[in-house]
Amino acid sequence: MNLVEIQGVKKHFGEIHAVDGIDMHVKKGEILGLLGPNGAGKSTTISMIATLLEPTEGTILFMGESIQADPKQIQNVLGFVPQEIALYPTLTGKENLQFWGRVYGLRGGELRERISEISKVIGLEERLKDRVDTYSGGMKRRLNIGVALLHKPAFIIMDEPTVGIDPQSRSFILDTVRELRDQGSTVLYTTHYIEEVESLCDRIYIMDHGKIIAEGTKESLTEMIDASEVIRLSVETVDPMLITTLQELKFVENVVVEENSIFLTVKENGNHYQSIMNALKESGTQLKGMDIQKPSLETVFLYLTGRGLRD
Amino acid sequence: MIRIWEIIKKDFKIIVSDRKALFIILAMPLLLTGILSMALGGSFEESGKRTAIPVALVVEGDAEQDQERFLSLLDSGPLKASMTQDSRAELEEAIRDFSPIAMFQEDFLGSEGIDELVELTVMDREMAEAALDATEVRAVIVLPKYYTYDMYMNFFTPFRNQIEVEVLGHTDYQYTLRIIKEFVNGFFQVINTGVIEKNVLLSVGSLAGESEVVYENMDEIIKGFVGSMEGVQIQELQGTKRVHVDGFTYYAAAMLAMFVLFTAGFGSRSLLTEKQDHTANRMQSAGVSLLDMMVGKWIMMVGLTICQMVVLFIFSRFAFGVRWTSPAGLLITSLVVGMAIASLGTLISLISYRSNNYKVANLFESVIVQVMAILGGSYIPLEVLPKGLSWVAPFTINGLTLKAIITLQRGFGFSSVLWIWAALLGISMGLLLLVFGLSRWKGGIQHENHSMA
Repeated sequence: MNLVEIQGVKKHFGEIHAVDGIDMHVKKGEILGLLGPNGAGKSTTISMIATLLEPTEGTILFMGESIQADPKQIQNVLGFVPQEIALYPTLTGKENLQFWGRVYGLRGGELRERISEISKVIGLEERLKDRVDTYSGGMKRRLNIGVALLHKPAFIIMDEPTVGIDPQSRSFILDTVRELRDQGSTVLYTTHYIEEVESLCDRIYIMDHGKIIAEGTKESLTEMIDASEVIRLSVETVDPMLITTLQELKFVENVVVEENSIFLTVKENGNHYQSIMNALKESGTQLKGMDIQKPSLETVFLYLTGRGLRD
Repeated sequence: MIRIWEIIKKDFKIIVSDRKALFIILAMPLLLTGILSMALGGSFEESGKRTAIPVALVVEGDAEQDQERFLSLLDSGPLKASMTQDSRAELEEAIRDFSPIAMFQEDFLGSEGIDELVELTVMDREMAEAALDATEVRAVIVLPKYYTYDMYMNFFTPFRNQIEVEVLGHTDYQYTLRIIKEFVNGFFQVINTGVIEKNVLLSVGSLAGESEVVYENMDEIIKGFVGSMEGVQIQELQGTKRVHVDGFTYYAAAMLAMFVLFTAGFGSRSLLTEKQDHTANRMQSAGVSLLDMMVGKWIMMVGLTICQMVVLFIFSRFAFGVRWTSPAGLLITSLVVGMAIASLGTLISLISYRSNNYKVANLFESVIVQVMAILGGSYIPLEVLPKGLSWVAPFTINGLTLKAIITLQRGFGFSSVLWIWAALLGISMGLLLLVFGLSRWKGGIQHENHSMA
């Protein structure tokens, strides 16, 4: 069953079409990844699902009911983790949890119990009495997530929750997301980190310029490109003549240039390297490095958009 | 409603955790009260003694006509029969020498002591009323038509004509009006006493067949009245229930009135801070509307202002020995001031929220508060300010706050500050209407909420 359905949704800010007619759905109990570079429209999309913005056009359904008509239905079961640290820095961790717990309708013993549970989950039991502005970046991120989980939400939206934190905290957050899915929650997870989506998400939507450009599982998406591997050439300077020569090679499916890197999507296995070396030699281009990768979501994105995710 | 209560509690916790805000709201006014009281308190009290009350005198009748009319009366009726030609001539001389208007204006109001308290200007009625409206004068005394004639009747005949002198005052200067009324009442009490004495003398003289002698000495009798006036008036003035307001009391009230404005400044930042810290978005995703947040912050500012005022009243009692005389009145004042401050803070917070910057809040705290402090009398008593500036005070929240506190402190009842409370409530309502209008302007507040896009 689809928990959320988005039908023909657009969001315009004046001349800017932040979201430009998207259709997508979120299945109950899955971790859905929304992948795209900065400015792709991911945050605007989840802001509309979280009832923070009204679509310019289109409908968003939650459990079959329009959230524009009845926002309370989704608000009551939603745990929203914004990209930014949405906490009160001069209050203690406990005071923050108490306030947000009460906002979510928890009271008395139930609230105390949940604060105790969540503080264990996010590993901040020892620091709850300290002011949030004394926390490290990772601790703030964890508390930011903990706040959204207090009321045991059935649907959790996480907007780039791992931006700017240490690897340990990132690993901790990803484990928490998996646990939430295992406990029956549905998670909508936006990020521009390919590896997070690959390791975490059951299904993925790829967004760019306000549109959904691909949808599927990691496997189905990588199968979209008819390629056995992706070769990355690091060069001193990119010679247009070299690009033309590479595109004319029979086994080359696609060529994408990103700064001083040239990505070649190649069709079949075999010894292509001699041909590539010849092309480099002919154009007088100095090769600084070469990297051979299996097709991934990053290469899918490169293939579909002609640019990298971190553009 | 529960969520609004949680927002209020949370905002109070944030204030308590913000030492800088606490210093500005509570410690600064106490510090400045001490400094200003010591530096300017002396001149404040001095100025209170030296400033004379500007009063207009309106004479509605024609003194010469009244005099001729009275002289023609002497030549007819029963008065003619009781006088010889010589006594008639001496009486006429006395009448022509005696001006009841000059008696009031020069002998009484111009006498030593009173002339330091009253600065008198003669005007026609229209001018006087205009001057009163413009608060160029604080009261108008109107001597009625036939005043001179009636005074002659009272002084020189056995008859008594009633004289009704009007005293007009400005609503902003009720205390001044009361002083001037006391002066006028005192004057006529002396006149009444003199008239009674004169009538007794005339009656005794008539019984003894010596009326002529009485009329011949009328001149001396009148001089006796005039000589007895000064002392009586000063005594009347001292009899009023004025409570002296010293420098510490004045500046405790003045600094309090000024620093409540910083509470509005503090409140005005909190909504935009929540927007920029993304806690506003988080609350909205949890079903808390922006209206809930604004209502919560409005109530928080009302409560904070009341707490601030009560704490400062208590601190100034112990730190500066200020004896606040009307706790109930001050509490009501704190409530209405809190409502006005909260509405002002809410308006600035909405402007800041919609413009997405702190420029207006900064301008308010760094410039507007200081200008309002000067115009509202927080630094220098209004009496010392140029007249061109002092009229602004009733339009400022701090000016009204100061006036309410000082009026209550001087021992006046609630009826004297009712208009101030009403004005503060009016300001509060007006500002909330502006908030309502601004929240609907250009598609409403929801339109602004795209910070996460």
